Amino acid sequence: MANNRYVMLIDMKRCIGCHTCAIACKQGNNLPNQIWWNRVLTFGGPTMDTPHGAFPNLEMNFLTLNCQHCEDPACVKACPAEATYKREDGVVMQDYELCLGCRMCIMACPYSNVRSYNEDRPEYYLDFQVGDELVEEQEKGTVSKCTFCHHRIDEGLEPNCVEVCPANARFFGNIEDKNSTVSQLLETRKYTQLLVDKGTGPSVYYLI
Amino acid sequence: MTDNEDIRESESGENDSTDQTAQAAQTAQAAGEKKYSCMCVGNCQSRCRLFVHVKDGKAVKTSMAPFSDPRYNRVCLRGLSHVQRIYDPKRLKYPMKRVGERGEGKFERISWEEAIDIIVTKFKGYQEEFGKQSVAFSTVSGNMALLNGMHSSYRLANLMHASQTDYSLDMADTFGLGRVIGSGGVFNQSNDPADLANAKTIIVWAANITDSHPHAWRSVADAQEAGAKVVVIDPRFTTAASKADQWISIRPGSDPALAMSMAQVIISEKLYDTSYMLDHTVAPFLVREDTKRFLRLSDITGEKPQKKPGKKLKDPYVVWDTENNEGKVLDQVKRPALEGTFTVSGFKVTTAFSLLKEQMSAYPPKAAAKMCDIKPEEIEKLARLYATNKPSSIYPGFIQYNNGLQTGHAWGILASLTGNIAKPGASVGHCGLSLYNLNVLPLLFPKGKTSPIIPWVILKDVLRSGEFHGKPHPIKAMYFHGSNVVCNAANQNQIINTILPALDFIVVTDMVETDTTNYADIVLPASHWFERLEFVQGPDQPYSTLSEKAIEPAFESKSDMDIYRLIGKGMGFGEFFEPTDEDFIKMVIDTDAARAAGLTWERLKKEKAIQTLPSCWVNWKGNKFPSPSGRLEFYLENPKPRLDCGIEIDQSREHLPHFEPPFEAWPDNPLAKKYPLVYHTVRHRWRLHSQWYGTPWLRELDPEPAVRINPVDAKARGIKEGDIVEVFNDRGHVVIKAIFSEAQRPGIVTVPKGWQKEQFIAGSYQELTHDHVNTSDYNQSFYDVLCQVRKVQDNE
Repeated sequence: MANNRYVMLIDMKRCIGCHTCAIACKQGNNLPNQIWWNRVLTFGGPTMDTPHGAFPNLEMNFLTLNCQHCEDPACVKACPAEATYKREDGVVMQDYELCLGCRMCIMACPYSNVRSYNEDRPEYYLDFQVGDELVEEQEKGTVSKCTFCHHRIDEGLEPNCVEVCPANARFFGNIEDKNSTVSQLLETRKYTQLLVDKGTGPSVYYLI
Repeated sequence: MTDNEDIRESESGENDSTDQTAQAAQTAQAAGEKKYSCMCVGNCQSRCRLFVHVKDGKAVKTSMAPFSDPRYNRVCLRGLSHVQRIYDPKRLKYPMKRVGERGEGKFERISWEEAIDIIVTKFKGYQEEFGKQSVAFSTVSGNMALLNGMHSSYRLANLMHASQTDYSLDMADTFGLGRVIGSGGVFNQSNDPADLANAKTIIVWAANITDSHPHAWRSVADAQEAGAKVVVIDPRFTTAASKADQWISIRPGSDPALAMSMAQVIISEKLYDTSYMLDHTVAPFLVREDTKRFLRLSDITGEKPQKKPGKKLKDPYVVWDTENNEGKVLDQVKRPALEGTFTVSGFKVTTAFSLLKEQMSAYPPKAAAKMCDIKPEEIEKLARLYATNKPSSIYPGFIQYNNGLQTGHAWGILASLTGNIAKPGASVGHCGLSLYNLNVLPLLFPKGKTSPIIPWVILKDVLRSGEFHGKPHPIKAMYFHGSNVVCNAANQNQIINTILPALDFIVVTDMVETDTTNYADIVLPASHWFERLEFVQGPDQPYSTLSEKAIEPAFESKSDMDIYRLIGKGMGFGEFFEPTDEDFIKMVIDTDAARAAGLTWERLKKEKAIQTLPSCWVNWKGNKFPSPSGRLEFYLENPKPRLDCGIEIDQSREHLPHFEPPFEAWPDNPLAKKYPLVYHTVRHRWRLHSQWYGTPWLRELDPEPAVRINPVDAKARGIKEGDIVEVFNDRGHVVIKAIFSEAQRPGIVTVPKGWQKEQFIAGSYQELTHDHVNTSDYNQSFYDVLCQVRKVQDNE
């Protein structure tokens, strides 16, 4: 693992805002009701799927937002319980056992709503666990967030959201490997990252 | 697209329970979990292969399952929500009979024995008293698989000599184009959607492709990355429009004017492909001035051609030989005339191309641009792009106006002029291929075709008059399956207040409670797609697939085929329903064509998905069209209605298309003073027609229906964002939240399709649509609707 540093790329030219990634995450990680680790924001008007501008001069894009798995994560620094930690491969994790529910991580994180707090006992529509079997159960009074589907990538699989993208707009891989698809794309395509000036070094890249 | 392709392949072990190795591999991945290969068979035509992960007898996950060609790997947000659909809170659990009034939703649980006994007794009684036709089966597109899909009622209906309703949906343009190709009113028109990646020009015409066919959009995006030009024609600024190189927002319902004006530009600027037209279209055929039919050899010789038994009637077409200046039989002429009026054996004739040229001359860009409310140059540019930056494809949506037929016809003209069909990257029309190497006849018609077919749109007239085809045709009972007709068919109030009350007995089979089950006398619970064995072929991918039974039917539900087995046995046709699902599949795939494609039961059972068409296959290969002449018949010598209902049409108006304004949604309509807004019921990714209407995960993201309105139209009515408004016309209303969107062309409001009545504050989106009958295409014009919007006051 020492030679791996995982990154995620999202091609904004190809993303159609369909939310298949969001649902794949919701199902695969058995997320409680109303909790979404991966959200799709419309880059346009105030409501989902509305454009910016005035008819007919319009623009619309979509931005999918999950934990940015920063190289120098503000959340890890802020966590008093070492519940938030970074793996050697760059994946930022949340340990529900250690989490105190203080939400310092949420306050420290420069990104909005990529971390969720289970104020009450997590609720589900079905009375049995769905999704990937190895996903840990969420607990009351803890914070949860995207794990890059660590249980899948450790088995050599892609994160749920990447595997399913109907537009082939999502990529995942090892940035240390110069031959990986992600390295190649970063080499050839223009990209941007969110809130780089915060200095946290996000691992999610948006191809533009 | 992935760094882990090899790993993904190894994950896709099959689920044959005898395969110990595969099982061991699964155990390593997830203890106690088994994966089954299943097919998502909604009416979107993508036909995604999914793994259904089963633990303790319950489906716990659906995931994307691979095809042998990874380009076809696909799934969407709906396919990933099946777990909630299987265990939907509204899932029907057991057979029920109505105890309250129809529509009240009061039912009582009964046993399957009692339910079948009631149905059989009623059906037998009506058939004895009122004739075989008095029982009618109505199945539509709720399931597109072979055994339990839209054809599943055919076997029983035809054995019973019962009536069946024809779909009468939104496929007028499909028929318009299908007349030119010769393929009629059905799908199977386009190349493999993956072939869009080979196009240099793609016109996405009125299709919300990113929502309704995201996997076809993927190929459009690939083409665009490779340098193709993508043009989206849509009144609304869709996601596809936001990605396109060009977006043309036309006036709703002006599509035929745009298409015909493009044809006019191509003709006047001579951008057409002359040799294609001469070789593969009816362009050089000579049309008789008197009969409007093509001139044939028998016209000249005066001898009626003799039909030889077992052979097609041969009466060669006559064309004008430009070398000898005379009319001669087509295959004897090297250089037929493309244009001109001639006299052959005393008959005044004109080439089909000349007639087309004359007809299209009424639609120069200046005139058409006014109808479409765009600039003339936009039409010119689009026509030039389509005709010269080839190969070009038209990816159509459904032209849901009363003039959809003309639009489809005009698309056929565009393909005929330019040869943008039957080639890699050149395609036009709806949907890829399905049922292409199978023999479904013994499954559907074990004792021949006997069912009278009544288009849904004229059912109301048949019920009112008791006549069809001018003969008595009482209908007393209807069996609905795969069809939430109250929610999805036009003019809901007419269905509820006129059609359904005219029926003595209504049976509805569904997986979940719907607007339609509410009006049933008997409700039967159908099993979910993954709770039964199925066979699925195409259309928008090149595979023949077996969909495994992953889990037992929930509660007391049964597969549609098993329900037909029970009713069939009760009706005295037990022997026809003895074959198992497996037997039926074996019977259907027992053809030389299937074997030649490698499709056998043994392989199917082992591999689950067999590629039976080449990747990116091309339709109508070799320009072999199923029309009477084998050519593209852009001029129709003998236009006929889609269905024979004993109603004549005015053929003189349908040899070539002309601009027919929409039935209702057009500014000239006096009704537009009262109802100035065009009303569109659009298809979003959150549902498929009405399926997935209650799926909790999807409802978290898309919690309630809302009307989208341009702020200009809203402010003119004193409506603020988020206000509750009433959208209404003379037929009905819906009360709903208003969302401002600049994507809305001023003058149009859109309401998402598929919500059930109880999900609106009042009324239903489908109350406003009309069921005007177009006796040529027998479809419904869901977009051809006017309305008004007003703010609902707080004290109301």
